[in-house]
Amino acid sequence: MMSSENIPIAPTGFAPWGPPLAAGSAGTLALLAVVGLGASALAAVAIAACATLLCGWWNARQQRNASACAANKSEAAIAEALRTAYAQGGIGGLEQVFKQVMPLWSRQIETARSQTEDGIVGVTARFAAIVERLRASVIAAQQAAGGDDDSNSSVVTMLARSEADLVAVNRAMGLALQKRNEMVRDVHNLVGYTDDLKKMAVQVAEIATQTNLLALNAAIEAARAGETGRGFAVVADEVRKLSNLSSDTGKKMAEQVGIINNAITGVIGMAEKFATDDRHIIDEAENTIRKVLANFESVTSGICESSTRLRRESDGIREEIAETLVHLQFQDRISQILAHVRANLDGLHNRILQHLKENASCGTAAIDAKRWIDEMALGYSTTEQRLIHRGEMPASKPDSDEITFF
Amino acid sequence: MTKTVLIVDDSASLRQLAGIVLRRAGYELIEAVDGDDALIKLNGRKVHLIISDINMPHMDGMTFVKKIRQLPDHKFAPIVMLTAGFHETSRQEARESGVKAWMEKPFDRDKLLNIVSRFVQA
Repeated sequence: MMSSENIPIAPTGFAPWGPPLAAGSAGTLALLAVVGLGASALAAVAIAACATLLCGWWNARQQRNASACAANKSEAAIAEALRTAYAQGGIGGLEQVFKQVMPLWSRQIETARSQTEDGIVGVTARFAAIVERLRASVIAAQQAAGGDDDSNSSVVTMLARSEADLVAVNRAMGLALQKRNEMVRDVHNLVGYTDDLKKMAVQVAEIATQTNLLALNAAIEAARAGETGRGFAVVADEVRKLSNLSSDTGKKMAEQVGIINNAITGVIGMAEKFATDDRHIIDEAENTIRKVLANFESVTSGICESSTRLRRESDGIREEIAETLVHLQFQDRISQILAHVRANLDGLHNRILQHLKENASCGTAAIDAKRWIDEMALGYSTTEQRLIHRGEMPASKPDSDEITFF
Repeated sequence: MTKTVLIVDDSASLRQLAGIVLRRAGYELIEAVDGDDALIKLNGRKVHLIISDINMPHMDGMTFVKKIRQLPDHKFAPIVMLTAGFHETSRQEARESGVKAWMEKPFDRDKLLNIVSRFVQA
């Protein structure tokens, strides 16, 4: 706890309780300036600083009027002389000024404090909303790009599925071509059978020729036999007719087989041409599919990279915002400091009212500066207040690393 | 089951910040502006962790701690004190009152989650 013995008392210009208040107000101003607080808060604290300086001036005047030889006395004696001077009155109109102005200062400080708090709450809420929206956007982008999840709707998954489907279609087309080639080979085998048929037709024609020759010989032998061979001559004639018929049939067979053979050759030729064309089409389709998939993959890769970059940037922004939110906690400390200043102002105001009342009734009243300062120091809740009270400058950013587990 | 954390602080922005961090981490949060408000809002509700400021209007943090330790439901609830950093007397007092940890403001997300997860998992 701070005691008044540790407080430097200015030889002129300040009351015993002037320096701490002045230092406190100046320190608060500096702190607010560092964290960039709004003008209203700065104005309020500036008022508090002015109040302190005004008090200093007032007491300095009391000091000068009280005793010219006080300068040679000890600090304790000076303080005592000041208390005596204060008790003896001579305040002029300042009490009335303080009586009216201090509640105004108090309310203005409270207004600045509450407006700052409301502002910080609003800013924090906005930042939190920004973080949420950012996160939602990143999640949506990741799902669309198929970054981290197994979503079926992701671009990556869709691309992989499309590739599998298109490759399957191409494979099916290749399989159909293969089957048709097998069929063409079967048809090609028919050419061998038609060759056999052609040979058989030739053989039939040869047999018919031989039979015709045989029938001619039989007719000659029947004529040579005379009357007895007449019936045999009829048979021989019929055989000759049949051989001629067989010869015609053999020729027709050869002709038909030739036609069939030509038809088969034509079909095979066309089938082979179609197969070649289909092979080209399938190869082109495969190339086109590969190109399209490669293009898609390039686009997808770009989307994925963008998504990754977006996520990385988003994480960075969220970290920045989180850090900003941490810094916004300055408001809590400032609120405590301002609340304390305000409470002290209110207390001082009440004391002045009491002074005026007592002064009116019995003509004497005094503020015990040491006691006042000691009580004020008891209410400090931040390290900054304590440092300012000691006349030291607090760090612009309070140390926040301490966690103690009991 | 969602774990509940009670935060008692007169600073709305600080409660808000703690709320953002803890709710996102999966905790349920009860907010109170001071000790009186906290006792009213608890009213039979089970909490798994209490985080309390020290300087608050109406009922300060240490008074709140002493009061809550008299309530059977919250006699053993872990309590973390949150402070602006100058409370040597209160620190000793807090330890004697069964406070489990002491954290100075300002805090960041990791610091808050670190201390909360020591006592309760979301």
